[in-house]
Amino acid sequence: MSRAEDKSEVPESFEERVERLEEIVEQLEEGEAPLEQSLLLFEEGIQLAKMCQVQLEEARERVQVLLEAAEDGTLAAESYEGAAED
Amino acid sequence: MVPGSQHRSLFDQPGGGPVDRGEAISTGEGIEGESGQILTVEQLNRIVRDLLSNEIGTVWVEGELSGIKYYRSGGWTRVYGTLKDAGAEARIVVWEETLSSLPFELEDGMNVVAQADVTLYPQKGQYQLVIRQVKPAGIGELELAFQQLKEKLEKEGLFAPERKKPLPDFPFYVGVVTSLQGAALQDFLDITGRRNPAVRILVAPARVQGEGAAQDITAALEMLQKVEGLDCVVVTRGGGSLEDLWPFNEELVARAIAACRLPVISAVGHEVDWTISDWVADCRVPTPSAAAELVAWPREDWALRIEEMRSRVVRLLAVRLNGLRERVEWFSRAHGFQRMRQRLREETQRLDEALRMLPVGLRHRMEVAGNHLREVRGRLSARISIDVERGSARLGQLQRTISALGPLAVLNRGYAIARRPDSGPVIRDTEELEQGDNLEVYLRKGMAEVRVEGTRPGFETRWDEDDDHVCEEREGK
Repeated sequence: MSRAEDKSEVPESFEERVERLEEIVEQLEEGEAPLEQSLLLFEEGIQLAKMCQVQLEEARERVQVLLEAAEDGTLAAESYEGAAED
Repeated sequence: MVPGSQHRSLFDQPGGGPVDRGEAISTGEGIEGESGQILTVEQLNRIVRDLLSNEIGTVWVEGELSGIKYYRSGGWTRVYGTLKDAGAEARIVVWEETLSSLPFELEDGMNVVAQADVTLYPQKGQYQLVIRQVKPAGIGELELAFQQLKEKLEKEGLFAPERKKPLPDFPFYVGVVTSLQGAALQDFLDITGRRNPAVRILVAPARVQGEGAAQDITAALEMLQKVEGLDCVVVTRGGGSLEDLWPFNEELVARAIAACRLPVISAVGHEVDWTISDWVADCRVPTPSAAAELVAWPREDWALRIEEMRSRVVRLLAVRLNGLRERVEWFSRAHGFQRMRQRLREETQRLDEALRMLPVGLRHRMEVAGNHLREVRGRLSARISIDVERGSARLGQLQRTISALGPLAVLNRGYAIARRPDSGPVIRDTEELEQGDNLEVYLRKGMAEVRVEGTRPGFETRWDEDDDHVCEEREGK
């Protein structure tokens, strides 16, 4: 139980999520965890997979161009319209 | 053609000093001859200097540099040294305006062709060459500059493997320094878009050749470092001549890349082109397309892998639950529970036997399993495959089996179970009892400790089958 609690915070990066998901599969494969913990692992695994799948969705504004506003040096980005046709 | 070469005849004449002097005197006839005055050394040196300037002027000369010393005091740079060959040497001086136009540094042992003004340093009476232009002999000047800078940065440890930052395995946000008009950007975007549209690209525009390119690239790198969430930066341009690629060989750019807090991928030119940027970057790839393939990790592969892991999680749990269900069913069969619609007395009796046979805690776990299932199912989205549904159906079955078997089903309807204290046997017949016996009576909620005051034997409990909702449900499966 304490192990499950240690890992209770959801990992932020895709990499960490994939790693944790792999761990969960491994633990379930070993089949040694008590049923309650197996259910928690199951639930966590499904959640992680879902989060990864959301991350893998196509980016909405995939390409942007970075602009520097002249006066104060602040940065802005605008969507990329493709190369000039000349 | 080398300008000033016509003056070489002056020095080609055999005999050295005295003959030169005689020549000089003959050309300067008017100065000395008329007045016959005695000159100061200073005056003489000035005369000699003017003579050298006027008569020889500017020449092209080839030789090896030695004793080169850079002086940087006073806020400006100049170089003193010697130009020599096997049999002779001449003092040289190089002023700042010449030095600043050189892409490389002057070094001892370097063979050069130099354009020089021949003059005299009056204070010492020594003739010297003021260098106007220097070119490396036998090697391109850009090539030389490249080698020099590479050596210099290497000495500083800027190329050391331990300085290299690891690239992220899964970049989701990538900065690109390149020209908006270049083919490099098009290639890069095409490939990243095809391989992994989940990766966002932020282009920091910069000229990548010619005047101002090095400054543009450096500024773009600095801007990108202010952007939140970037995983790495690609510095790229397509193929071109050595001159075209030159900004990526400049010290300014090299230092900007080295100082970048994000991992930098350098992808400049074609396969064969190596630039200083390539050496100093955390990773070098040969072309813009190769950079695209590097940062756009294969999304579909990972989507498959995650889906596979997800369904394995579901399957593994289903297998686990199925194992539990089989244990319950085995137990039921082994004890003759096939016919569930039986009389209360019989059911109660067998349930009690079941209670004793179940491992400690299992019954509780099954109830917990049921509760979790309801929660989990509530959260599962429609996308979750049929595997989950199948697993859930099994859990549901299991749960119904448990409640049908469990004493809760009975107790919930208001019945009680009486047993001897301390988990003793369940009482089914008053014949087993005597006055004064202590019993535990289990209700839906809690347990009562009671004492037998008396018994009335012969009364058979009746069971109304239609009332057995739970059993009906089980039958219907």
